[in-house]
Amino acid sequence: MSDRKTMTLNLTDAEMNALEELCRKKDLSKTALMRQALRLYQLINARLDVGEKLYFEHEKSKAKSEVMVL
Amino acid sequence: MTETSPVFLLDRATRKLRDAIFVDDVPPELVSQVQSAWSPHFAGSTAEHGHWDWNKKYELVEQAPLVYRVFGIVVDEEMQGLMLVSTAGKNCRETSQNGKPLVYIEYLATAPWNSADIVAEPRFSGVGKIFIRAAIELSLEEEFGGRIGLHSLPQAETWYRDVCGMTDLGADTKYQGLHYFEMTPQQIEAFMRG
Amino acid sequence: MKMKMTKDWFLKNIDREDKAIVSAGTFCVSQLQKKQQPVEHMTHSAFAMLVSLSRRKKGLTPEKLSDMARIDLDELVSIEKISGYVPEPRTVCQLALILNLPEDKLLQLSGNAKARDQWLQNQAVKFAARAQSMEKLNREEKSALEEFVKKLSESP
Repeated sequence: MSDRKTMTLNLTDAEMNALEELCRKKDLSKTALMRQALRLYQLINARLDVGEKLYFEHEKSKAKSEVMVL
Repeated sequence: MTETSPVFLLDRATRKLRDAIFVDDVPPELVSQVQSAWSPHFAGSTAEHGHWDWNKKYELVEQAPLVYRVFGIVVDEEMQGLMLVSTAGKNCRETSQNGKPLVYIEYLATAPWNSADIVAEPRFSGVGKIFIRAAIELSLEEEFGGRIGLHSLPQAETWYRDVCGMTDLGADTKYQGLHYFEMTPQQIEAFMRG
Repeated sequence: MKMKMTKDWFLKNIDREDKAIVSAGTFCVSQLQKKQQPVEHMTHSAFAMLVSLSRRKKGLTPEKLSDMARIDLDELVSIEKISGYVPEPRTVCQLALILNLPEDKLLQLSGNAKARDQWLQNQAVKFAARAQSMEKLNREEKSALEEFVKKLSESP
């Protein structure tokens, strides 16, 4: 495993609640969840950078809506 | 950052264990060498993985290095197998594990001289077993509980289902009709016990 | 990540891997069309007839073939009965394996892979024109089938 660095994360109550809820749902620690979030952000931005678009598609209706990532 | 550790493969001709090196994070220049070394052996064969371009697959790693990783197994300075995994963006579909993250095996292939769809007598066996274990250990390290998933090429379905003990979730119409497999915590425990 | 495994663990049941194929991933996209396309009608008729006649030549019912090939019976029936039906690549590969047919040609005929040249289409049209739907293969159908399969195996 490569060397790891520690950082402090300042979150509002609402953000902390959201983080804890996601951790419960995904059965992940806060650290593991934040690492997932970072990876997804890198992945999405890498694909946007090469001209792809990100959509949600409703499984039944097939309605599509674009997700904007800054 | 590339890391190596000692593992084994079974030399099928002598039935003896051979010392091998497990490589975590195979660098692009080595991937390129492997592509050049393997391609001639696949010429004329209909083996599905024979058409894979590992240089192209490595572009995923370059795009999102936090997500994608390539593993390899080396014996006698020759790559005996490659595996590309992703560690984000894929969740379990199996009902009891629904929605939890897993390590997804994007591609797994053994070298052509180890593959029974290319040669009559493969040289080494054990590549698949080591890679499945590696994916599970990575999943444990990521705190995913060892959960892994993959789409099997048709000829490998029996191996994943009956030998590795994975759950066959059936044909995935969004993935060329290939069968999708996952491993639950109980199956992981059984696999790690041997 | 360092791998942690013992010799004992590795050797347990290692014979079960022996000559097993262990590949995971996708069919090669450069071979397959990104989206399955309806093929020219006679080419597809040739595909449907080839599957049907090959099955009958082996004396297999649709149920038996779908079982052996581990494919959905519905999909097999659709291949044989529904004009222009394009099956999943995996289904085509499994049929090629069980019916001893060249996989790459079958993928082209089924609409899953790009047709590489006119030769295959010409052969497919000739075969479709000769073969007819009957309960038992007659001599003409048998001959047409054997010749087409031979040509597929010999082709460039």
